[in-house]
Amino acid sequence: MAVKKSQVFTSLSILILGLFLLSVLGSASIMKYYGDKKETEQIESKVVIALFERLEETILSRATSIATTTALRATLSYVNDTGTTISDFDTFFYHLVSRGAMSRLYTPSIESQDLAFFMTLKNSSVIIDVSEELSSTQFDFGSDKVIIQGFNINSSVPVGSVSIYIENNGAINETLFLLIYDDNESIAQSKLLFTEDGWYTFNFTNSYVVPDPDKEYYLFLTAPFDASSNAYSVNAGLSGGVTEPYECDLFDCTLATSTIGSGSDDILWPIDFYLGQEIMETSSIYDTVNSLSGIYLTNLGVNLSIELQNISMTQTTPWTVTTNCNYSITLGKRTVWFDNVSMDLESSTSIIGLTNPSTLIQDIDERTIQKANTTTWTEETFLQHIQDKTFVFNENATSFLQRFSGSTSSSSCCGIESLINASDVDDINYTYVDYLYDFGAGECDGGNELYYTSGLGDFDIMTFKLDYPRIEFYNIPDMGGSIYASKHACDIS
Amino acid sequence: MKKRGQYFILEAFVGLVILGLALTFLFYVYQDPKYPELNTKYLEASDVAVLFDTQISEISSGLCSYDGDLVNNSNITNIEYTFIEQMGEFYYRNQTKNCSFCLDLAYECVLDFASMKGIDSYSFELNIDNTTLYNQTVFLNQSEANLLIPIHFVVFGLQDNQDYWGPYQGEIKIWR
Repeated sequence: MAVKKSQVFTSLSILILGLFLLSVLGSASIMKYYGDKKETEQIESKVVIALFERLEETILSRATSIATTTALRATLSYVNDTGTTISDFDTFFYHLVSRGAMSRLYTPSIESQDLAFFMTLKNSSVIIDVSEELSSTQFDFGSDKVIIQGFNINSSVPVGSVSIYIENNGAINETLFLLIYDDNESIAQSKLLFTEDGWYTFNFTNSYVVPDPDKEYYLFLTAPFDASSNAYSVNAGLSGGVTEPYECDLFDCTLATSTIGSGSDDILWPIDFYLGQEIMETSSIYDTVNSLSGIYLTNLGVNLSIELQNISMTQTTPWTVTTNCNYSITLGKRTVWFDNVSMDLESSTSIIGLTNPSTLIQDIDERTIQKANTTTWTEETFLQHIQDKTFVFNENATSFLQRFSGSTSSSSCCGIESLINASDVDDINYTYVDYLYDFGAGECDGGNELYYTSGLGDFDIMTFKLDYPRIEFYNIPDMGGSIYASKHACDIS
Repeated sequence: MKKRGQYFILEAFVGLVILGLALTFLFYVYQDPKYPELNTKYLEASDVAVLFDTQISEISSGLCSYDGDLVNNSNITNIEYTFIEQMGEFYYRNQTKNCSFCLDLAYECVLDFASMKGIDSYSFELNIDNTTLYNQTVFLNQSEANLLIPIHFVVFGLQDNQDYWGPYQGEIKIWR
């Protein structure tokens, strides 16, 4: 009996010991799990913080600088194309940098049928399939004529692709575009090359726009470059062989056609489409941020949302333009979040090498912005300045940016000018300072006396005139050599 | 007999305390040799990777420096790019401008850069848009590595101030 009692005690002790060991091992596992989790979270937070810092120090600055450069080039192309100044440059520039677009008028004309198309989400599921077996109806598009299809989707997955059967009416090997619009702003675009009649799939590979299920969006189908207005067509009654047509009654899938450029409604239309050149492409801040968000989410599992709050362009030096932006940034992953952080960014872009806006607007003696090597004026440097069409800082001149709006006001920080070679232009009764000549603002009259500047060698034809402030600015009275100025009577042209 | 029973119980508790202390001690001093100081290693990898975020204008010598051969022969046209952004542009030119030698330029650049920065003793790989531009394996292959740390970048730019490229995902993988 005594032996049995001791065996019971021993067994009991072993049992207690076993339970204790289990609890210690369990605790150890739990502690290790939380230790690993803590370490993972620490690394995760380091990754998110590093991403945020890189966003702040490099990426957004780069995005702003690139968007500014391409927007300036697009604006120069626009003034060259239209030959007009831009009255509200700030708004024009804002739309370009933020969306790569310009304001255009249009009026949708509602059609009776729906466009045959099907939409696939990024998770490969077909969400909308419109391919009604209705009577065949052709809708033409091309150039400034577009087809517009309304849709909405009840999904939290971004749009992946849209397929449409497209036929040509004589045009091939052209780039076709499909844009997704939210109200009057394009939120995603896709392009492809048309070669022959058939189904075409527009992929929104770089777009991670998740449409709001409560809103209606619009697909704009367009062939903007060089095509005629009926170069292509879509058959709205065509069946794509899809077996489960989407119930169009569930949403207002209105089909419309329209001509961009005339009408009563405003739309932000990609400036590349207007110009027929790929200048902005997808370099606008909206497109870049959209792509960044997708890369961060897909590859890093990091959520990124950036809103451009405001943007302005100014000049504080003669040879650069400065873009000031304010962004609101939300970036995070599980345990680490930067929520609605406001960030001010300043980006400088050189204007050297860009075309002078005033000569583009007036289509006179096109010249690019090149800086003069000197500001010490002698006979040699003055002639070189005219011959090379270089620009020089002059606080009484207008700035690069002011030229877009046709302003001839002086800019004390940033005024620049070059001189027109008299042999390159018609003789007129104006001072031969480039922007004054271009805008017809330096006319000889009682308040603005002009002077012939003679002794200019090859340029020495009795037409080169300058206003008196420039005679002084270029130090002509004291220049010596063969150059001299003589007063010009205004009534002699 | 009663004392003997108490002895067994006492013995069990003493053993229990000793075992408990030993296990606790072992737990606290235990480090998995496969994952030593993960945080430290991440920071070390991050320090290596951040070298690739150096602007070309700040690289004073070598093939891809601000006055290196590739700047002088106009294969690098924007010295404001960071090193990895320049790799992104080489990749873009290869993919869309039929530049058959651009990936070779990228390889030579990284090889030269790694040697100059003293990181040629690390195993690392540089990827742009999931394409490997450079792989340097020291001792262990990537698949055999105990510790693999990827550092991510996003790169995009304007070639010759005109053609927009990217954004691409840039990635430096460092392993040991």
